[in-house]
Amino acid sequence: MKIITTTKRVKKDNTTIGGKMPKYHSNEFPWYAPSDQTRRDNAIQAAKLMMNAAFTAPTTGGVDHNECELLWGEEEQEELAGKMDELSHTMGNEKTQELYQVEAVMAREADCILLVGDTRSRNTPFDADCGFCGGAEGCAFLYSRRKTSMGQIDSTDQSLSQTPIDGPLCGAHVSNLGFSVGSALWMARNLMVDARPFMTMGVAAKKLGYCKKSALVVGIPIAATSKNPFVDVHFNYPAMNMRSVVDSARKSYIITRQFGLDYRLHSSKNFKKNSDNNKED
Amino acid sequence: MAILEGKKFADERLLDSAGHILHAYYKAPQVSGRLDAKAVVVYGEELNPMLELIEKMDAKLEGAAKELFFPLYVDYQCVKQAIEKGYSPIMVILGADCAKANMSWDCGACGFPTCNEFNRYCKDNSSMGLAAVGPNCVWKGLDYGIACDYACAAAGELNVENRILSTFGLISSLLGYLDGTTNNLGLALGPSKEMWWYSRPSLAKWLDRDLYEGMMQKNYTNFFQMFSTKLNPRVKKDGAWWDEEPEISVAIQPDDDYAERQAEIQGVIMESVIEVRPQVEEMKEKLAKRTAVLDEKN
Repeated sequence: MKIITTTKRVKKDNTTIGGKMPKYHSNEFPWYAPSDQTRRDNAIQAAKLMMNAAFTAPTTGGVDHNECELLWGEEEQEELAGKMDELSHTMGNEKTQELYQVEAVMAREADCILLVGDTRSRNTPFDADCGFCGGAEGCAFLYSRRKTSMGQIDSTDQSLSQTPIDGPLCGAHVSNLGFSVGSALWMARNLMVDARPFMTMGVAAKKLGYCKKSALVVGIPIAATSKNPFVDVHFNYPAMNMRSVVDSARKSYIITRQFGLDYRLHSSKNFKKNSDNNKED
Repeated sequence: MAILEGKKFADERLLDSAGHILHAYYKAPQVSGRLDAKAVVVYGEELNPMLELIEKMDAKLEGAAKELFFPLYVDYQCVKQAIEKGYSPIMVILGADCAKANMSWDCGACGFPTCNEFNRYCKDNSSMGLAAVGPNCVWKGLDYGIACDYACAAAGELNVENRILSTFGLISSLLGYLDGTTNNLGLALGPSKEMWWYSRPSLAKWLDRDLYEGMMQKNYTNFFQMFSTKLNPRVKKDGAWWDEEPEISVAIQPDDDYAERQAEIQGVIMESVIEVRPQVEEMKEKLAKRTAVLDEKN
């Protein structure tokens, strides 16, 4: 029997194939450097498990109602954050302006963003007279506010959609979405990654075309970093965040460096303080 | 030192698990950050009013409760059988007022263009459905869902037999266990048995084939129906249904008796609630006194 070791297989030209296991080195900084990417990849694995947890959440009736999408990558996250910044101004709502702006920073700082949407709340209500949406019998509160044909809601009708979210929505399914988001967050907790649910990220992601089948989407940014980027934030966070501070430091450093001496002629050792010079005198 | 009987000790310690579960419930992450989550823990004799309400309704409706309120009756039997066998479950009632839209997000998810309009509508138009008082702020409802899910996840993590029940949420809401809430759900904990709320050993004792078949026919009408070239398509069932006259017809017809029957059922529910509710009010008074004493000590 020929024994083949898995550690080293020597080819004719003396190079090894399959000889070395891949090396994983992980680091948080600089952002998006290969070692940071390793860490981000792991966070993405966690997000995928959170996605599954969302599906297994206990829900009323046990009917499938979720769609999940994972948003990751510098360009994609910047696109989402940019949309949030834009919405902060175009919504015309002072109360949500800062929410959108602060949480846009968090979208940039996240390793990835899990989007959890509910596919049923707009078009296929639970039909159980639960009363959550308005209390009227026959789910009339919801049906009477939609364009219907033969009792079925017209999913193409956008005439009522004047607000960030196209309501009214079926409350039973909304509550179910809450359970799904809860299970995703619980999984994050178990996997020791930081995560937090946001309305703003969900609205912006929906506008960018994520979770197309859902009327209501919650965005959950995920991070596996030393400091949870979704809590303990400065006032005026859009201006005063890690990226702006680091960028400002780089700028100041580069400007300040221009006043350096020629290192070949002036050794650091001989670069003395004023007081030292006075002593010599 | 002492020696303890394992099963009894486990059942006794269910109360501890309720405490841990409530920690998870109250600390659950929120989107709005403004959900006022409430809860009470009900066990032992304090569960009786819930069971009594269902029994009263069943008696007044001459044994029709199992057909009319099937899911409620299923859960009722689970609770009742556990108590009869000597291992009473604990019911953690989880509730919140989701009707107050106080974030001013004007997101429109509730169906109103602004939170102010929603709040104005709620003042005069709130009413109760089968499981909640509506309308509700969608984000509060979502946060309430997250909190309840955290409670379930905590129970799961503690390996405590549990199931979240909208049926007992409705019952506790009707009886007023939690004041100032629009949504109630019951999280049943224990007994220390495998899959008590899922395998439902109690079902085998009372669920008969006719009731089950009737329910299937109502819910999956088309599945049992012959092709409807005739006005009165036959419905397939046990036995030689093809030899029988099509006594069960699937058609949309006005049912003159329906409204009357429904009014009667609603009357029975309200009557039974009025009869049982004073017991819960008495219980709440005791709870308020106990809380006041604890507050004084602290």
